[in-house]
Amino acid sequence: MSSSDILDVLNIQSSHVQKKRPGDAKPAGPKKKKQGTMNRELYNLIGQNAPPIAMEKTSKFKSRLNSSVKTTPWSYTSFVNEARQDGLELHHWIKGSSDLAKDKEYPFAKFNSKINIPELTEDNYKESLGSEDWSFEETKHLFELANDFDINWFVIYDRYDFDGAERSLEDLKERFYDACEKLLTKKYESSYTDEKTQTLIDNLKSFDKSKELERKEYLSRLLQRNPTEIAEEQSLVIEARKFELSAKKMLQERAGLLQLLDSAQSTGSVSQYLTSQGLTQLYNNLMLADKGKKRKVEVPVPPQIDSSLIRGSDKHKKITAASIAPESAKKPEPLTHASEMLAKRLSAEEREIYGLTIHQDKISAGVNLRSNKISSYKPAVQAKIASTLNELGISTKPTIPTGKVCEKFDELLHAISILLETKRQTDKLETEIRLIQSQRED
Amino acid sequence: MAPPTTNSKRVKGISISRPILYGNVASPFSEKVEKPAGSPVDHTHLWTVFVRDPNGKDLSYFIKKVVFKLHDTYDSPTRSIESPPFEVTETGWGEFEIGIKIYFVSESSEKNLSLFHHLKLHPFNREGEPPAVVESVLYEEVVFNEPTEKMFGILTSTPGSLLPFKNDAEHKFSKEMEMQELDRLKHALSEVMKQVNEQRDRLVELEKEKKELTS
Repeated sequence: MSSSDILDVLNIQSSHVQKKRPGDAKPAGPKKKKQGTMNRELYNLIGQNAPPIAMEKTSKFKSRLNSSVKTTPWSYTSFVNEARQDGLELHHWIKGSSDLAKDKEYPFAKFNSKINIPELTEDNYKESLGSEDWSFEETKHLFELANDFDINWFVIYDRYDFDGAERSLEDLKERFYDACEKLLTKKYESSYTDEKTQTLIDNLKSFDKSKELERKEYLSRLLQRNPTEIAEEQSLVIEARKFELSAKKMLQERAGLLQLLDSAQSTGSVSQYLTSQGLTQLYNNLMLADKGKKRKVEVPVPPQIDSSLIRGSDKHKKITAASIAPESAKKPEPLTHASEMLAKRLSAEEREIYGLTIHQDKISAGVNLRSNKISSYKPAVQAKIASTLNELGISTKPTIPTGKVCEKFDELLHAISILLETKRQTDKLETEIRLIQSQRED
Repeated sequence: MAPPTTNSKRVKGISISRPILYGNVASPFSEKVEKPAGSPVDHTHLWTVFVRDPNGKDLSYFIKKVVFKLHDTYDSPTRSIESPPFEVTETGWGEFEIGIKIYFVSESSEKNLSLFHHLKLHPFNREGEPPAVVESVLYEEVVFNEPTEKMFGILTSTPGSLLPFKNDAEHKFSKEMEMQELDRLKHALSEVMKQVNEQRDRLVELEKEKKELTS
């Protein structure tokens, strides 16, 4: 009992289920192949070897337009343009039936708008617009032109011709706006003015001839720039942007420097480390801290080797022995000597003879020249440092580079580099302040 | 080349230095200084370039050899001196840069050190009577940072030279000179620190001024 039987019993028709029936599947295969352009006999000759390219007949022409939408009717109707005074009747094509458009207004009539310009009479001219420069006739002429050309100023300026009077566009504007404003104020003097009119009056008042002239001058100058000037301007803009960026960076640097200069001095007292116990404790603490960093610690020399600091040297001997102990198994011979040497309490003079120095901080192994250890700076800084040294009467290299001298020399170089950096910052700040001041004065 | 690893165990945290002098002496040929036979005709000076201890002690306990690289116009310009005194005596007429390479004893397992010395034949001051001997000697210290244990042993069994307290004819470098140099540096340092403080005060002042201006 297959699923289709159940469907039959239940009276359900299902097309996709039917397709899956094995009986239907077989004839579907060859049928598809027959749909090609080749006829069956030829296909049978080829057999299973299907051609690599599917050959299909394509029609040469576009398919015929097959639209089911009904065509829209257009009708030729007459209409009256309300914007016209003469009531001329014209005809045009409109979409849909002519009945539809019968009572409708001509859609383009609304664009024939009229600007509401206050009326100018001889009376109100005398009342509020009296001016030596502008006679009533000339004002009237201006108002007429404004009315005729919908306050298109360039057209008005072009057509303006009154007794050969020389008026600039701005003169006309000024007179017209001023007159309008006065007329409106007069008109609404007694009665309530609505908001719209009030803003109009305010706008009319705000016209400033000199500003307008200035603006036009700027614009014309902007338009008259030549290519080199444009390029220069662009480069200046880029430069300005760079300045802004570097200023930001410099501010950060300066803040950093100030912080560095103001940093608190070490407040801890050294007195607690002056006794041998204190020193041992410090040393142990440092050793622990070092171990905490998981570095391989292999320092056989505790810092208390200086005999002047050590009274009870037993402790230190123990530490030395303990730290060296693991190595002694492998290499007993040179080690005994080294530990002996170290165990011996060397006086300052003895240490000087041997040129022995004990370093608390990490040093890099290897042989070197003393004078090569003097720190170097960036070439630009180095040159400035050299000139500063020159001013101080010090040669750029120590004449007798002993350990002490090199140390001092290094210290000096460092101080000079700080000085140069501070100087640079002050100079920058000074120029900045000058700039601000000059901007204030402008 | 590099000795086996057993040799390179280093003594951490210490450095040992040895002072050396390097440079040259030169004297023009005269009645006293005779021109050696067979030297080229145009040579005018007899000179010696050297690396030595300030007090004339033997340095061979830590220096294996010194190689002097002379001007290419000399016969076999690379002169390797394997035993003290580490010096080369030659005749010549011109000044040039001599490359000096110091090789250390194998126990140190250190690379060689390079120095350069400008051979000096003529005095700085050309006027007046030329001196019989022109000297150009420089002080330097060779610092062994964290020497190998063997080297540590070698260096600590032989004391180095201490500088004399005063300058004399034989010793051009002395403690006195060091002290003078230190004094000069100290003086310069205090001067610089003074300026730093001034500049800092100025900076703080300007910062305030700017704040007032911008606020």
